[in-house]
Amino acid sequence: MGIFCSIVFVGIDPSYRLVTVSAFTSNAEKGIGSVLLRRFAMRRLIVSAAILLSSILIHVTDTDYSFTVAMRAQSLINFGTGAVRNQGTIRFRSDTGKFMNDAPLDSISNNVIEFGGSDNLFTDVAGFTNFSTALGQDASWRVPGLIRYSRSASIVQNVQRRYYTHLEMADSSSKWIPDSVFVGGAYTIFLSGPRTYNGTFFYDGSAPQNIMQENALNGTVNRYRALTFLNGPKTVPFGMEVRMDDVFQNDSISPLFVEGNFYWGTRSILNAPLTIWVDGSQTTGSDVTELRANVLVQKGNFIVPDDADSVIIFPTFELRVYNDSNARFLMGDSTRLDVLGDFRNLYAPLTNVVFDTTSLVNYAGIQDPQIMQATAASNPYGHLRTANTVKNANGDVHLASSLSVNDTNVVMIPNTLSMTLGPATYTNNSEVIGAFRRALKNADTLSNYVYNNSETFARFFIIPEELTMDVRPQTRPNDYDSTTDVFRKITVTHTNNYKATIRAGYKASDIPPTWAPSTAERLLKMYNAYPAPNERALKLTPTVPPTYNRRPLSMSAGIAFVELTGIENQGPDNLRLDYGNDLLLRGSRDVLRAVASGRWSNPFTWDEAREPEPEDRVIIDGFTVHTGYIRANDNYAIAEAWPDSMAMQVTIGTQVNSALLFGYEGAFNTFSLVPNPSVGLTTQRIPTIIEQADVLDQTARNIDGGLIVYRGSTFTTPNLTLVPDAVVINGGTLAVGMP
Amino acid sequence: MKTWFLTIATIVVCSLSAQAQITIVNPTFVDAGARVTITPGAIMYIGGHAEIRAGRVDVQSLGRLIVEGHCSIWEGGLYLFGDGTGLIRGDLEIKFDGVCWRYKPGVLTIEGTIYNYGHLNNDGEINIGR
Repeated sequence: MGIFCSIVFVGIDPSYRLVTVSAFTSNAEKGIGSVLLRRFAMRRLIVSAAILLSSILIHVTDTDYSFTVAMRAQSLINFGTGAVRNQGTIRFRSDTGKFMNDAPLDSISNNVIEFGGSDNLFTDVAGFTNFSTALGQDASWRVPGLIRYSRSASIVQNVQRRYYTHLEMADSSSKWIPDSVFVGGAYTIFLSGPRTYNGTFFYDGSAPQNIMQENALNGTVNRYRALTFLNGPKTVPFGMEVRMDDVFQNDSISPLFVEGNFYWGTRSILNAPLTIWVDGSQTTGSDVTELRANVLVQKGNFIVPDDADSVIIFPTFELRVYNDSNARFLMGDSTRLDVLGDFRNLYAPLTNVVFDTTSLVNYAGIQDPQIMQATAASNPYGHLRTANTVKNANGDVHLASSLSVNDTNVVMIPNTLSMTLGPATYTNNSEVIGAFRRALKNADTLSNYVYNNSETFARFFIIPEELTMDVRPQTRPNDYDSTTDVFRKITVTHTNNYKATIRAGYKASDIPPTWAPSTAERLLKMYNAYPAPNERALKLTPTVPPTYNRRPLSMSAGIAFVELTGIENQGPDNLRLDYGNDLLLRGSRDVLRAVASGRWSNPFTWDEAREPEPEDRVIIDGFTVHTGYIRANDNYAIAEAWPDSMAMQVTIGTQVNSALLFGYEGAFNTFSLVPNPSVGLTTQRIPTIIEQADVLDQTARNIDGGLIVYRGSTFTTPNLTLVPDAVVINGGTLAVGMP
Repeated sequence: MKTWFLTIATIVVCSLSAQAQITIVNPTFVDAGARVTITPGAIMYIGGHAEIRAGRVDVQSLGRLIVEGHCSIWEGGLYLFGDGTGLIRGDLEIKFDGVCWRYKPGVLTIEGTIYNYGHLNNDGEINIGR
C-alpha cells in the first residue's frame, strides 16, 4: 500500500491543444516513471514544485513535455466477476505484465494474447501460477485462443510453462521454453528469434495436430529437446523436418503420421501407431526405441541410423512394410532390431529393406511359432539371431554375417536359409530345420563351416561354389530301415565339385525305439542313400580304412555326431554322395572286413576302423591278421579286447595271403570265438606252401597260411569248417567245440 | 463535433494496491449518466482521472480518447468503435456493472493495469503497459 499525492495542472491553448503538468511525490512508491507526452511548441515552461512530502523537478520545454504517473503494474486483472471476451488481440508490453485471473474459465474467451515482455505470466489474482484460477495451470484451465510470444528486440522472452491452446513464437526476440509446455492446438513459429527448449514439449490436443518444424542439427536451440504427444493424432506434415535431442514418446491414443521428416533424439517410446506415408521419413534416436505400437511403413522410410541403439518391437505389435517399392526399412551400421512382436515386409521382391552387414535382427518373441521375415538375396540381414520360441520363415532368408540360434529351432521348410562364411552358433541344442545354404566363395580349407546345428559342418578339401544341407530331424531318409538307421533326413546339394569332411549331428529323438539289439551308435556309418523308386544305400568308405570320428549321445550334451572324411560329389561308390541324395546314418552291424594286414585289435585293420566285437562277423580275405602278439607290419601293441569271445563268425577267404595267426605274449595266449554252438570259423584259403608254426613270425611279411595257431598259443572255436583243400596249421592248441 | 472537458487544478489522492481496486478521489472527468460521443477526428483529452459512473462514452471511428490518469467504469461503458483509439495512461478499472468494449480494428492502450470486475470485450487490439 502506498500513498501518493499529485498536483494536476491543466491548461488549454487557443488552438485547443492541451497542456497538462502533474507532479507526484511518493513515499517509496515503486514504479514511478516519466512519460514523454507530446511536443509542445507554444511555450517553454519550467515548473518547479515543492510538495509537502517530497519534491520532483519537472521540466517542460518547447520540445519535451514531462509527465509523471504512478505505475505499479501493467497487467490485466480479471476478478471473479469479470469476463474477458477477446476476439482481437490483447498485448502485454511490459516485461512483467501478467494476466491475473480469478474468474471461471468460461468467463474468458480469447483470440490472441500477445506477450511482448521478458517475463509475462498467467497467474491468479494473488499471483499464484498453479492450484488456483490461473489460466493454463492444467489441462482443465487451458489458455483459450492463441498466445503469442513476440518482441522485436534482442531480449530473451521466458515462455511460461502452461497448457496452451495455440502457441506462437514470433519476432526477433529469443525464446526460452521451459519444461512442460503443452499445446493443444497449433504451435507456430513465425520469423522468430532462436528458441531454446529446456524440457519436454507436449502436443496434447485431442483434435489432429501438426508438429511444427524445428530442425537444427544438434543442441536444443531451434531443436526440440524432448517431445511428448498426447490425447489425439499428430502429423509431421509433408515438407516439415522435425528434429529433437532427447526422449520421444506418445500415449496410446495419439497415433503419429509422418509425411515429412521426423528425427527422434535419444530414447523413444511409441505407444500409438506410427504411419509413414506420403514419402515421409522417420529416423530413430541414438538410444533404445521401444515400439509399443504398430509401425506401418506405407510409403516412405523407417530408418535406424548408424550407431543407433536397439529398436524393440514389443509383443503383439508389428513393424509392417507395405507392398510398395517406396516403402522402405533401413538398418544402419551397428544397429539392432529386437523383434518380440512381428516384422513383416509385404513387398514381394523384398528389395525395399536394407540391413547393414553389422546390423543385428533378433527374433526373440514368445509367440509360437514366431514368423521370421524373408529377405532378398541382394538385401540380406546382417547378423541374425533367434531366441525363445520356434521361428518359421515365411520365405527364403539371406544373411550376410552371422547366425545365432538360441533355445529352440528355426524352421525353414520349405524355404532356404542362406549365408556365406560367417559363424553359425547354437545354444540349447537348437537347430535350423530345412535347407541351410552356404555360398562358399573365398572359403578356406581349414574352417569348419557349421550348418544346421552345432555338430553339423563341412570342412573342405575341394571347395564348391555353394553347398546346401537340408536337415530334417525325425524325418524318414531315403532307404530308411527302422532297425538300423537314424531317423533324420540329411540331403546334400551343391554347385561345383567338392570334397569334404562332413560331420552330421543327431539327437536322441532321432534314434527310433525299433533299433535292433545289434544296432549301436558306435557302429554308425554314412551311406549314400538314393530316393525312390530305386531306394538303396551305399556305404561310404572314402579311405581304407574310413576315417570316422564319432561321439555318441552318452558323451554328448544333446547332439551326438558322426564325421567322415573324404566325401565327394563324384567318383566311385565308396566315396561319392550324389547330388540330392541323403546322407544316411546307419548303425547296422555289418560284416567286418579286413582292409589291411595287421593285428586283430588294431582298428585300422578293419573297414569300420574298429576292433571286431563279440557280435561281429568277420571276413579276412587277402590280408594277414595276427592275434595276441606284435608283428612288424603294424607294431600294434594293444591287446585284444575280447580274447575269449572274439567274434560270432570268422571267414578266411580264398585270396592269397589270407591268414589268421594266433600267437602269444607271455600268459596272454588263449583265444576263443564266442562260446556258442552257432559260432564258427570257416577257412577257404588253400595255401601254396605250409608255413611253420613252431616259432612266432614277427616279421612284416604277408603269410599265405589260412588258419595258423603257433606253439604256445590256444585257440578255441565251437565249430570249424574247412573247404576242400583248405589248410589249418596248428603248432599250439586248437580246440573245436564248446569248452 | 468535438468534445472536451476542462478541469481546474486538482489535488488527487489515491490509495491503491496492485491487486485491489483503484480508488479515485476527485476525478477529472465524471460521466454520471450522459452519453458522451467522440466523433471522427475529435480528441477527448482528460488530464487526470476519469469515471464513468453511468451512461457511456463512445469513441467513434477515428476519434481519440486520452486519459492521463486512471479510468474507472462503474456502470455503462466505454465503447471504442472502428478505428477510434484510446489511451489511458494509468489503470483501467471495470466495475461489476461496467463494460469496456474495443471494437475492431482500432487500438486501446492502457499503460497501467486493467482491473476487471465486469466485462472487457475486445475485437480490436488492447495494449497493456508501456
